[in-house]
Amino acid sequence: MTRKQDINYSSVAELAPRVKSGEISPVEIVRTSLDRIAQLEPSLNAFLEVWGDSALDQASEAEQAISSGDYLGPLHGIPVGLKDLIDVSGKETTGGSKVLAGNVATGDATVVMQLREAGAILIGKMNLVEFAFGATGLNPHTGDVKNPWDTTKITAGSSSGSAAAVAAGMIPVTLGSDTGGSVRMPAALCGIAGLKPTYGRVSRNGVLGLSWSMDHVGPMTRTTEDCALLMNVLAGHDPLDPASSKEPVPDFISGINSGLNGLKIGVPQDYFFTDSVDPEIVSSVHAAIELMANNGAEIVDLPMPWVDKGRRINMGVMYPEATSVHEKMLAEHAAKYSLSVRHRIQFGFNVSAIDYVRAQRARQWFSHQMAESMKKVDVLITPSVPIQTPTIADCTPAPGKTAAGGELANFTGVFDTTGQPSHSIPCGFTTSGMPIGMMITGHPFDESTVLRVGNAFEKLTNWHQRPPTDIPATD
Amino acid sequence: MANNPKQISEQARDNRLVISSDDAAAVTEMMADVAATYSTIREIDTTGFEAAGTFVPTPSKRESD
Repeated sequence: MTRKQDINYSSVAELAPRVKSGEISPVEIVRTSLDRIAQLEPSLNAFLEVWGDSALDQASEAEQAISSGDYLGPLHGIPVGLKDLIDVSGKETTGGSKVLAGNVATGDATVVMQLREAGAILIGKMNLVEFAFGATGLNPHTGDVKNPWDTTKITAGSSSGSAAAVAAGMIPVTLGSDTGGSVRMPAALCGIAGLKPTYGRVSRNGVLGLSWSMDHVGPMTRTTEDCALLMNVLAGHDPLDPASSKEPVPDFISGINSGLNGLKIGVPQDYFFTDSVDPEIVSSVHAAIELMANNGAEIVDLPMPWVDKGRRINMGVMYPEATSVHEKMLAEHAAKYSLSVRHRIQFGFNVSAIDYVRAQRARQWFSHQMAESMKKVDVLITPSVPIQTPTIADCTPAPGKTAAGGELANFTGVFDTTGQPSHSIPCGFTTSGMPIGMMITGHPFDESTVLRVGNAFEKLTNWHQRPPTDIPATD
Repeated sequence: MANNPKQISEQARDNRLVISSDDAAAVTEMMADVAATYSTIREIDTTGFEAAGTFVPTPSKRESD
């Protein structure tokens, strides 16, 4: 392995001590990232903007600070990409739309301020589904992001560029957002780790909304341990976000190596493992559960006959909230929206007030069922998505054609409804060589146990360490 | 819930949004799935559960003179 390849595919946890010791400089990391980005863009189309000069300036400052003994922590000198719905002062936030072209942010989102304070280097904005409203990851305005494992296939979305860039070894960390699965679906299809924290755990201030009662911001990384490092920077109360929680914030790293002994893993007996789910996916997740059982976890089968309603409730809340978010912009700029996103927003005009309130009440009912069911377990294990990765061609809308990918969010959306922490990591590959994702979902505000389970599984396997096969190796 | 292009257009206009006949036709086609979503939700007995996101007032006081 060359030094460049080593840097491109290292995790933050691997890079940080080398940065701290001076063995690798932030300037070298950023230059290596910029080289990899130049090599793979625009074929992958993961970035909307790359801030090469300012990233090198930040890296140089980080290098000087670290050599002077002012090391800020594991993210110091590490390049981070931001889904282009997150405000960075002086930079455009387009949401992947034509409507917001030229919309320059006047301040940083709270998560950006936190990253800057941790010494992270902001390297650019990531491609996404228009206004984050779609699961396949396609965007007719900004161009489709290609999956590094097979560039004819989708990445899923809406944090499509965020997932592709990490998977392709361009950068080790990106931030995404998740309202129906937009962190976890692309993480699963691109073979990386993606954490949707508990609703309210990470601030959404300065982040374009889609459905305010279900929007989450979360990290996308090579490993679970890196998600924990990011959570140590991002989690906490923010008075600028009305939904921000005041729950105490633990150190997400401290218990991450505690292994599986003593943990009870719930396996739903309904919905997630039925005949309609791809058999290779079911088989891989079952093998993962067996591996965890053989390494100290106790497996508990859980009947959940009501759980199929979770995604419906997720959509029932999302449609009218998204319409409300977009009402004014849609009235003024309807022609600038893509057809599919415009139509999804127009659905919401036909939802009655009582149906929206029913959906919000059903959400409380559903969360209660979930809490009751999980009383005797620490986490749930399920597949992240129910289908194998479709091609871009099959997912591209066309008159008279039903586009593929409609089922992608059936599993992830369940846990946006409940707001529980939910994490996707790789647990195998299909016979066609595409990554398979496993979802670990915990009790509200117990990201620590979710991360502990994910980290323990990664220590037992090497699925997360394989580089994608459909892109050139590092120069 | 609207289930034909005319109703879709009328409801959009009621909400101060004018949509094309093509849009109305396309939305009508997709409304079946939306209708199924709310049909599922209506079947849930939510007795005893208040809506999520209940309004909570923000504390405030008179500013000092």
